[in-house]
Amino acid sequence: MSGDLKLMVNGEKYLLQVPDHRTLLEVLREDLALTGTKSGCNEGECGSCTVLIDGRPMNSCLILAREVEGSSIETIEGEARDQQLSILQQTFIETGAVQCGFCTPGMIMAARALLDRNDSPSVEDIKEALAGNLCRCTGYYGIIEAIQLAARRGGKNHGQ
Amino acid sequence: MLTRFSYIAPDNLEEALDFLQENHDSTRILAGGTDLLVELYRGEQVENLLDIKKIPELQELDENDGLYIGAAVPVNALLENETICSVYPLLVEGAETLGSYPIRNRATVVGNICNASPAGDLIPPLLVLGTTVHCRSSEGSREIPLQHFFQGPGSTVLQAGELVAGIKIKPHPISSSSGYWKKSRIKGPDLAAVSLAYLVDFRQKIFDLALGAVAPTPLLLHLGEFLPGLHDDFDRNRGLILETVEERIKPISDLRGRKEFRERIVGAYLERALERIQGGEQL
Ligand SMILES: Cc1cc2nc3c(=O)[nH]c(=O)nc-3n(C[C@H](O)[C@H](O)[C@H](O)COP(=O)(O)OP(=O)(O)OC[C@H]3O[C@@H](n4cnc5c(N)ncnc54)[C@H](O)[C@@H]3O)c2cc1C
Repeated sequence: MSGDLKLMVNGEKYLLQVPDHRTLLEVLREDLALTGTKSGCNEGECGSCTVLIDGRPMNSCLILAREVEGSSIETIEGEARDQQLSILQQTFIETGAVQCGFCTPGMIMAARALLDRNDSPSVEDIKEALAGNLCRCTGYYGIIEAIQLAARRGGKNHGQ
Repeated sequence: MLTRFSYIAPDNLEEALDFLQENHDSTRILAGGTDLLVELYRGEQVENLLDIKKIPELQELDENDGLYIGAAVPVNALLENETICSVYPLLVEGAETLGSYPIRNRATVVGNICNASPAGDLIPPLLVLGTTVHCRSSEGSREIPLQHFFQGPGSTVLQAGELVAGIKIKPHPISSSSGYWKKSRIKGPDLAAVSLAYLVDFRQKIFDLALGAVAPTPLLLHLGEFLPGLHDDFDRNRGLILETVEERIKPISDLRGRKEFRERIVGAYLERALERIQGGEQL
C-alpha cells in the first residue's frame, strides 16, 4: 500500500506518493535527493540520520515517512542560507570538528536543536544533547568546542 | 529497507480498536517505533502497522490527582513538564536515562512497558510508584496492576484485540524517600545490566523495591515489614532484606554482564538505598 504524503522540507512544500513501508530517511535521500542526511546503523544508535521534525531532533531511520504527514522537516541542506554557511557550520570548520564528515550532518542537526532550546549550553548540556550521535574520528572535543563557539557568536540564529 | 506492510493511522480510538479486533493476527501496534522498527529491520514480518499516535485520547497527559499518561505520550513530555519533574523525581530519573534525546522525542512511556523488556528503564520507577495499566478493546476495558502485566521477556498479558490506552500512577506520597540506579556498560545510551528503584512512604509504612534486568520480568517486592526493624536493628534487618532479595532474583549472564556481576550490583544498590532510608529523618 502507499499513500499521498504532504511534507514541508527545508521550507519547501512537497506532495509525494510514498509506499507505506518506506522510512523518512529513504524518502529524503532517494526521492528528494537530499543525501546530506546519512544512513548509518538503521537502529537509532549512531545519529547520522538525525533531522528536525517540527523543530525536534529525531532519528529518521526509525520513522516511516507516512508517520510525519503534514510535518515540517529540516535537514542539513537547510542550514546554509543564501549561499552562506550557518554560524554552526562555520564553527565546525574552524575548530576541526569535521574529519571524515559522515557524522557531521547529524551532529549539526542535533546541535541546531540544542541551540534552539538553550542558547548558552554548558559542556554537560552539549554532551547530553549529542549522546545519540557517534563520531569515530574526532574524539568529540572539536565538536563540543564548535558548538560552544557558535553559541557565543549567536549561533541560535542561522547566519550573522 | 523494510519489507512491505500496510500503515494505518486512525484518528479515533473506536476505529483503531475495531481494526485491531478484526486484524489482530496480522497487526502490530506502532507507537514511537523505537523498538518496533528495529525489530522490523531485523526481519520481523508484519502485514499491518496500526499507528496510534494520531488518536487524541491517547495523547493525554494529566497531572491532577496522580498522573495519567496516554499511550502516545513521548518520554520527553515528562521531562518537559514542571509538575512531573517536581512531584515525581523517580520517574524523571528513569526517563532521563532512556536512550538519547532524539530517541526520547519519539519513544513513548507506554511503549517501554508494552515492549516488556526486563530491562525497560521506566518500569522500576513505575512499579514502585504504583501504576495501573488501562487496557481497551472493542469489547470493553480493564485495569491491570503493572506488576501483573508482564509474563516474560517481550510478553505481556494483553489479549488479542487489546491495546494499552494509558497508565495511571498514584499520587506521590508526601513523607517519602526514593532512589533509582541503573548500571549499564557505558555512560551514554545503553540498556540496563541492572536497575533498581525504591520508594518508602514513611506514613503508610510502605517500602517497595523494584528491580530490572535480573529476572525474566521486572520484579516488585514489598518490604514494608522490615521498616520498623531498620530503625531498631539496622544491621540485622539489612541482612534479612538482602536475603529476601537474593531469593527472588534470577539473573542470567549475557552481553551486559555476568550473573555474579548482576548479583553484586543489586547488593551494592540495595546498600545505598538502605543507607538513604536510614538517613531519612522520619524513620
Ligand atoms: C538507540 C536506542 C536506545 C534505546 N535505549 C533505551 C534505554 O536506554 N532504555 C530503555 O528502556 N529502552 C531503550 N530503548 C528502547 C525503546 O526506545 C523504549 O523501549 C521505548 O520506550 C519504546 O517505546 P516506543 O513508543 O518507541 O515503542 P514501539 O517501538 O512503538 O512499541 C514497542 C512494542 O510495544 C507495542 N506497543 C506500543 N504501544 C502499545 C500500546 N499502546 N498497546 C499495546 N502494545 C503497544 C508495540 O507493538 C511493540 O511491540 C532504546 C531504543 C533505541 C533504538
